[in-house]
Amino acid sequence: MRAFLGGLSLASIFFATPLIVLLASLALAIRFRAWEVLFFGILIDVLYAPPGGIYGIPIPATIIACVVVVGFEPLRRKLMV
Amino acid sequence: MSFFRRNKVFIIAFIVVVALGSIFFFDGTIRSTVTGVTRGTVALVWRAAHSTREAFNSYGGISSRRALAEENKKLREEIARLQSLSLHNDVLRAENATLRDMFSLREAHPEGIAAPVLSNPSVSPYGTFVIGAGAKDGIATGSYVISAPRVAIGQVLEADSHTALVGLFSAPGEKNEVIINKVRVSYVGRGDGNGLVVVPRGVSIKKGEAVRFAGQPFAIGFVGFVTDDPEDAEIKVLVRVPVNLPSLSFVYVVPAPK
Repeated sequence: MRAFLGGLSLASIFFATPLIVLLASLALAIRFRAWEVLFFGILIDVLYAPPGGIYGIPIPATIIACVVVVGFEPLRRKLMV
Repeated sequence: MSFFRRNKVFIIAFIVVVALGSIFFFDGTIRSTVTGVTRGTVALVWRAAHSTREAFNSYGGISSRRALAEENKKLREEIARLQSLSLHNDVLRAENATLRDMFSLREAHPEGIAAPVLSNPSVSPYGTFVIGAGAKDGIATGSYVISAPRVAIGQVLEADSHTALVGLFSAPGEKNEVIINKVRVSYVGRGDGNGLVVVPRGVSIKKGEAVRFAGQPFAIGFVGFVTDDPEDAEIKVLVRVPVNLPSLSFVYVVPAPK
């Protein structure tokens, strides 16, 4: 399951819409302590983010990935106990 | 349990974000090296995917070849060979048409460079895409990226060695000064190749009219739809790019006029 969601996220970064990456990353963060979501956010920023970022935010996707990993940690602990 | 153990996840994530943000924001050399290497590596994946898709289309799919093989081996091989040649011709014809458009652009702008599009513009959440030509191919930051029929769809934001990042003018929130029917107005990108222009009432706007960059010899799009409410003091004009951005295979990069 983890490999499938991780592979889906990675392939979606190169070939599909960001929405699929987001949904797969959310599913990963809820089900596992998914550090690879941070890597996906970093990869999106390295590949596609313009210099200077968006609206002055330098690494938006990485920040969102951190929020997803950190924010879903309490929910993950509660659901997966 | 100590504070650090309880909040290990948060602390690690925070350190990652701060470190990366600092590197990317303050150090251009490290950023350009990391982005150049990453895009160059991923470019191999994109090129392999394009080749696989074209090869699959040329052979008309696996199921038809298998169906013919079951019927008659010799005739199937001959028919498959002829079909492959015919479909390959169609692929070449389509590519030829694209390159002819590029050639007409080259006649108008001989200093420009044709570049293959590697990533689909709809894949990026920032309204950007990657092309397969970079600084070593003569691409410079600030160059205009043009697609047939001579519409500037974006500008080079960052040029690595053999790849470059292009920002779309029609990306949501992207603003540019344009001229429509001799009136200078602001163009705001709305995504999917569309943009919005608001002009004062009294300016005559026709559907299909070119919307040009202020001070540049390129069009940014053509008038697609005009919202004309008699109670409003302004007219809203939807400007569209006359090309399907996700299906772009080649673009033409022209240095910014000085």
